[in-house]
Amino acid sequence: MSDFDADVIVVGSGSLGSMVALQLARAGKSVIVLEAGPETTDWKVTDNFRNSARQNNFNAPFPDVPYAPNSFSPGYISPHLEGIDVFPGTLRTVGGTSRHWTAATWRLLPEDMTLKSSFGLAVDWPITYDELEPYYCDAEYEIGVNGIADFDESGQGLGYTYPPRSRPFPLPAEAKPYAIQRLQQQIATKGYRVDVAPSSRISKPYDGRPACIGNNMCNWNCPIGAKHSGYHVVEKIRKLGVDLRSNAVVHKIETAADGKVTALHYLTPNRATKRLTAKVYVLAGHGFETPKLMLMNNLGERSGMVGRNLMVHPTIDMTLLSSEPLWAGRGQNIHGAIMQRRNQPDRTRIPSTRYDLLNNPPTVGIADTALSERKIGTALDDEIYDRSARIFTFEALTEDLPDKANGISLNTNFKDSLGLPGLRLDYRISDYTKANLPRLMDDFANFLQATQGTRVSPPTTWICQQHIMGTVRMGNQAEDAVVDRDLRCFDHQNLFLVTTGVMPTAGGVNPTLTGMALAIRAGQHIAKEV
Amino acid sequence: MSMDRRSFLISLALIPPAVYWSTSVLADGSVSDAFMQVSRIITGADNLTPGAAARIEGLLSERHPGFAAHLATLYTALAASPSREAGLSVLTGNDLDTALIIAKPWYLGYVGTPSGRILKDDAEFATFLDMQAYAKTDSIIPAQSYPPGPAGWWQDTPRGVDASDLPEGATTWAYQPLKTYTIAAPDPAWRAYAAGHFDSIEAARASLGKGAEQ
Repeated sequence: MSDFDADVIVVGSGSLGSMVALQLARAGKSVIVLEAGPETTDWKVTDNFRNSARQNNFNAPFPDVPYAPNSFSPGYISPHLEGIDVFPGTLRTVGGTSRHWTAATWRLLPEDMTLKSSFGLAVDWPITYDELEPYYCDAEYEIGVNGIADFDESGQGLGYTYPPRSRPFPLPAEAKPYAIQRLQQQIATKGYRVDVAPSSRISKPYDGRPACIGNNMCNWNCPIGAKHSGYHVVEKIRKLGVDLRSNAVVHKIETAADGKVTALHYLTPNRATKRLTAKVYVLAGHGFETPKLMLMNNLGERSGMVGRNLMVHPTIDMTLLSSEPLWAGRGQNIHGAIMQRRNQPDRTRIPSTRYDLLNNPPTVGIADTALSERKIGTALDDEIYDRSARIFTFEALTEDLPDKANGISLNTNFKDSLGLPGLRLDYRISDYTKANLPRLMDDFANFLQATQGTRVSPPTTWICQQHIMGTVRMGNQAEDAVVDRDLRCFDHQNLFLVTTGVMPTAGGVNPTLTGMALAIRAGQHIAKEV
Repeated sequence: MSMDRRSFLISLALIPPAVYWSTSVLADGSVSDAFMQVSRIITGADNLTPGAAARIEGLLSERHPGFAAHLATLYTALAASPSREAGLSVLTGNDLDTALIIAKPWYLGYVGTPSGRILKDDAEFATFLDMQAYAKTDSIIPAQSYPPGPAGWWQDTPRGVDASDLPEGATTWAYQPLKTYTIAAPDPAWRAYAAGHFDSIEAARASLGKGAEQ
């Protein structure tokens, strides 16, 4: 009989936690996955969405339970923000926050991982792009990613595949909506190149999932499972015998004198407690809950970096009315992107930026505005039709840099139903981010002129993405990082942190594919140790 | 509530027996019938479902004191008009307020103000399938989770759009309009307009001189 309850215990069942568990289970290891939140099926989430008054709130269709509040639960986050007034929505449910991701699957560029040596900014990663590249491929083939051959993701017109890839995209690109076909012609006149945005909203049946048919509610949930989410990997690990326990809120982590973790404890919603042991422990509770658990248990303290260096990809939307009908809102929520601002030589002073060409259905927002202008009857109907045909939004997602002052800490003024604290969130828009505004305005002016458009909203309000990076960053030494290149805690030999919170810099693209590549790498590494 | 209902019933007696919209107008004099008729006039849709109408009427009655009386007054005003547009276009004051209150849940699918960032607000669900915001695009933009066809339908040119000038191959991602791209410096007038310094490009051009190209 084993001395442990499992070879490995993974805390968190999201896209990264389940991916680690999958590697371990495939290697024949015994694994327990603990998920704080409840399980909600995809069909139920879709039903909740259709019957929700909050279809503008990504968290609304998912469980909001008193024993596992999420970042949008009232009072759970105490925000202290400057220059930005929103914070990321995270979920605590089986499958994790990837239940409501857009499935944008960009790779980082080598330069994104060498910001210090390439541009004199922030820090370099302790691993290189070349080391991570095979795991990017593994992640892409595990979840199914669409893309085109010879794709230069840097947007610099290189004329060849960049960053380098050892295997092609597993799936062809999805169909190109009319709005992009037309807009591509228009903005090319000002020198902008539109490319397909790689995604895991699959273009053909793959691994038991059907092709996307354009339900266009990707941000909430895919009604048919065409979009990858951590829930799909949960199904795989269950078939491999992984013991997944939902409603299991980990709160206490025991350590020995040498720093090794010896046990962890979880609470059930009715406050029953359970102690579990394993050879190796993995915390994969996203970029908020992972550092929260570390802070609650005084772990990883040597670096002073737990919970710090939060990066969220500051974002500005530019919305216009084109002079001719485009009919955005047909298809998926994002199809195309402009990458030319991603890796320019002046990145030393102006952040990496990617423009997403948004394709969300605009009609409800347009109707809301028209009603507030007291339009009714034919005037209202005509306004909805006309503006829905012509409206288009460019979303500028920008790179932010690590700053120790930005981050999360414990919010002891909040107690959930188990008596556990909430989170305080500190974030300030930096001068580096602000330095981007003149260029963003230049581009918006060009977009307006190219479409002979009408300005709906000037780009002045910073929002953020649902991306959380930096809060338990990796590095080469315990003095300024929480985990090493294998995601092992410097202070706790058998504790690994698998979260996008380990990313020391943010790049200018969505972090989830990178997180999954890191998770696969860590999972295979851990499997060799236990 | 009882006063509102009495007021409403009194007003109903003043309504002409034959109005323009439907053969089932006020068949039994119930509040729901009146609400349904007013809703049909406001939305221009004759396929509103009774269940959604009952839910919306209930929500509005709870949230707006005197709603039934306002509804009755609005009904009287609309019933006296020869057409939807004639009736709605002349509404003012309380009647217009009431019409907008009724329009909101039908067009947006909710009452109240939903929050996009916190799970606490005063919003309540009204309808999804009867939501008029999508219907008014002539279904060119389908309601979320109700796509009209198999994978790739969104590549087709939307109904009523002339795409004959698009180059061959523009429907594919491999296609690019140019071989190389160089981002242009922005025109000063468009730049000033984009930044919100002027309300229109014409105003920006007038202020900044020669301004932008057409």
